[in-house]
Amino acid sequence: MKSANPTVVIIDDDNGVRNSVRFLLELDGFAVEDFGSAASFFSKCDLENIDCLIVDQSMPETTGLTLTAQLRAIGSKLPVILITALPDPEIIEQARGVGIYKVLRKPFPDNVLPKLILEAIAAKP
Amino acid sequence: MASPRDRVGNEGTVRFEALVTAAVDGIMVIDAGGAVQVYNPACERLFGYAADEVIGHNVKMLMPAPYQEEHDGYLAHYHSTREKKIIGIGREVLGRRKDGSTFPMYLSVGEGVLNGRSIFVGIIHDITTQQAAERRMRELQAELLHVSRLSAMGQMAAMLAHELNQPLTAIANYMSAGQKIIEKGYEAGKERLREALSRAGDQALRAGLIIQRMRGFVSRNESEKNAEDIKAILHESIALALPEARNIHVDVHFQKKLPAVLVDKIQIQQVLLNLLRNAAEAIEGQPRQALTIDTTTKANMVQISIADTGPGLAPEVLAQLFQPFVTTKRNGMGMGLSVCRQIIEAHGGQLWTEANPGGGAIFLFTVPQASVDEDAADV
Repeated sequence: MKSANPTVVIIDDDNGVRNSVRFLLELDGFAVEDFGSAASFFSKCDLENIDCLIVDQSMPETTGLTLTAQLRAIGSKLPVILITALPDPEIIEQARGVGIYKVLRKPFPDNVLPKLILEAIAAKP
Repeated sequence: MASPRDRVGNEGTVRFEALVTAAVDGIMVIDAGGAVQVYNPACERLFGYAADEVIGHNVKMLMPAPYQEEHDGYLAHYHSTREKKIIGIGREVLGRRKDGSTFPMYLSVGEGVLNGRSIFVGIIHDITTQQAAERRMRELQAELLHVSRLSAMGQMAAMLAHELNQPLTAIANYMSAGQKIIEKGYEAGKERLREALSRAGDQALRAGLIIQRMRGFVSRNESEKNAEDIKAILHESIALALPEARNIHVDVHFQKKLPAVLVDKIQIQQVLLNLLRNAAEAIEGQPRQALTIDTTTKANMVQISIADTGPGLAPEVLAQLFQPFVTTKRNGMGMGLSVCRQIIEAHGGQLWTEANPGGGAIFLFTVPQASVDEDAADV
């Protein structure tokens, strides 16, 4: 684990959200990669080199839950934070099922995200 | 010894009596003056009177007011003019039971001659169940309409939550970033800060566009304008918005010869439902609970006003009454009046408020007449 400069990946189909998360996290010294779709993430991202994944639940092609389930299916234990506008109990329940570290409601309060990423990385099994 | 003709006559009487007794529908014979001659067992079941309580009495005892008072006049009118209003035709009327309750029935009347005197034969078919079924159907349709409208609102709320959350999330992130830059005083801090602020501003504008698009969607979506009877729309809306159980006094005044209006009926109903529900909420717990609904024509428009006897509108409420997402209700979304105004403006009308001189608020709106060149149609 690269504790000095953790690499974080954000997957969200919304440019505004993606760019703002990148901007915020880079200020705190995270190395950030962003992807607009699950497909580009799986084709371009090297899973070995990232420390934490932030993924949007509601995307045109797939959901954050499905993407996480696919990750688990190929044996990845990557810490995942799911972001969603509507974190209903069903989503939280399913998130637990696929080992998501935390479901975060959009928009998120001041500086919750950087703190949560560090916690998630520290808790990685 | 009976003559052959008498025998036939007796057989006829026996058959007639068997038929009348066995009939499921009520069968009644009255004479020219209205006195009941024949009253079969089905009539006894329908009206609750035994035959001996009715036979020989005027048939009007089986009618509710105002028919009761008018029936002698009907008979006299027929005898003098021979103008048939129900004879040979039949129609839906109300019957009055012994206990004073009424029931809807289909009455067909035939005219005949018995022993050289004019008689009327009435056949009475109880349509209580049929009418109840029809009413239930209407209620269900209205309910469906209401539910579909609510679910459209629910869908819109979900869509808003999702769409608006994206720029809001971005803005919150840029603001966090800006704060962090200031606190830590980074090198190049000024440039980064400027960037964060500029990007946050862009996202705020984007949120504004989403709302604009949404409002356009509400007023344009499936809008289909037809010539409609505003009276009928009002009556339906009142029935939906103010269930009878609520003890509210509703006065409805219609201008005579009200012309048809060119509107999307569902949308105007939505506006009326909103205004009526608001008015009903406003008068809750007030000493005088009354709604007055007025309709008048003005230029090429029809104006509808709904006046309540509630507390009226406070100036601070009035100032942003038609703003979206501004609400005085605990569970309100603050969409009601803003959507109402959108709908009315999309119809080329206006929606505004005035203070009720007697206390309370008046909401008024106008919608265009269906055809302004022709004479006002009495719809």
